[in-house]
Amino acid sequence: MISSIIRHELRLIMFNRRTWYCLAAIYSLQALIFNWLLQKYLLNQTMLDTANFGLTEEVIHPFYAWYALLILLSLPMIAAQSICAEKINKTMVNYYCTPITGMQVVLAKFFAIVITIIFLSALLSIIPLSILHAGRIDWGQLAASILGVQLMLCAALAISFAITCYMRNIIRSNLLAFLALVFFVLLEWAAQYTGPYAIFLQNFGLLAPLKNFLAGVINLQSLAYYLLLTITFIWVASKRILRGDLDA
Amino acid sequence: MQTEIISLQGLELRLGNKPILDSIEHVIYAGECIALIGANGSGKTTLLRALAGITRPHNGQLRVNGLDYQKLQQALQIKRNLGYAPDQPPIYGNDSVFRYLQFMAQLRGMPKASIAGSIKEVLEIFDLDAQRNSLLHTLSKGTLQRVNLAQACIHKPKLLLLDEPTNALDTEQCASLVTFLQTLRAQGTTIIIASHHYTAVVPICDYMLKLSAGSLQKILTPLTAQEILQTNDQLNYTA
Repeated sequence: MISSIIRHELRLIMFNRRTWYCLAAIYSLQALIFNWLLQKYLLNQTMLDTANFGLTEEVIHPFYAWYALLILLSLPMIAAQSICAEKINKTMVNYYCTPITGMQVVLAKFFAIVITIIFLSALLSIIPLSILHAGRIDWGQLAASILGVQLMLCAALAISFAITCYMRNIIRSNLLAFLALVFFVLLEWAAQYTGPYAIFLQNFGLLAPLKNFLAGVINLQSLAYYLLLTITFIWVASKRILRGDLDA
Repeated sequence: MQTEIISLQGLELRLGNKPILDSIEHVIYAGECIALIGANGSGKTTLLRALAGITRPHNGQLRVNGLDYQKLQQALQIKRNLGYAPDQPPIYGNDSVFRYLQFMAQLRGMPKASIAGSIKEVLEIFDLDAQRNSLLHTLSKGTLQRVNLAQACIHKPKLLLLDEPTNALDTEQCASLVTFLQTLRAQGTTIIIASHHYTAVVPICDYMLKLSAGSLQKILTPLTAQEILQTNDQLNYTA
């Protein structure tokens, strides 16, 4: 059942002209960012007079950080399009009166978007691989970066889904999901003003564990944080998604 | 002995804080065909949505086949044998007719092997063969309505809920829909139809339920209904 909905969602995503415009825009922007990072790196390298110095740290690491930020900002819109738009178009009724559970719908929609993001990540990874002929890449760090970005985006997508499930209006849904993501990002920044609770808040910041991954460190704490966040918000979304009309 | 398929006990439905239906008591037996009639806003669609498990009753009890929508496993069991065609076709514009029907069949948990056959059958019944590969956003309202009816019937449900099924259908299509519903009825399907165009559905209904001022005011037998239609009086407001 879930696989049928995933296939259906992927078809809706891939047959939508806007998806390809967005993918093209993100790809172009990332290419420009990569070019800028590479030029900066080459400038630094000239000054340091050291060959192949920190190509992964100076180019690949910020490249994926920018990518994570770009997608993070788009996730509220993607989630709203996936759930709110169905409510507005009244197609959600297809799920209401068929024998499927809220969890199946949320998981299917979630995985369809995750597959799209993985597809985009795979396409974008061609850009940093293009420098292989001129330098060396730290493969471990590259893999950790990609994993970290994916996990962080999954958690952010789950948060956006949970917010969107409570909304009927796309703009409100976008705004609230965006504010929720900003809240999670700012927890880390707020930590410095909280004294004894600093460590607690610092660990709950959405981007804090990502920094570890981008630095090539895969630790259990970061992994568990993202997984728990994802599971919790998916559960919240699943409890709400098919109740949208029930209490109307 | 007749089997109870739907039992409404003190059913109260609201939209937000606005009461729509109040303390409805009624029992529908398996194989019956019923028309819900009433003025705009009288609660026909709300009652159908409650029967389909979309709107939750504010008070009272709604049981389908003795099962309760409030319990997840029982709700899933009800929905396996339920076909619902809402007043607005719930279609995805970028899907083709075939893809959409296939998706709906999959959602209803039909076995893979029987999906293609069932789609072929409903495409023939609703005269959609020629539009099989057309994208839904390119179709006329009448064709979309037929797709909507086809998705509700694809899994041969035991309980069929149709909200304004004759909307956008021409006279010929209305007649073939009525013939099809008669066939379903003969096979034992319970059919509940909410319609403004009650003239089209009266011939196949066992009786009509008239919703007015938040309650089921009276039950019209086909004979009474025919008389009303002939004298063209009490029901004029729904025309």
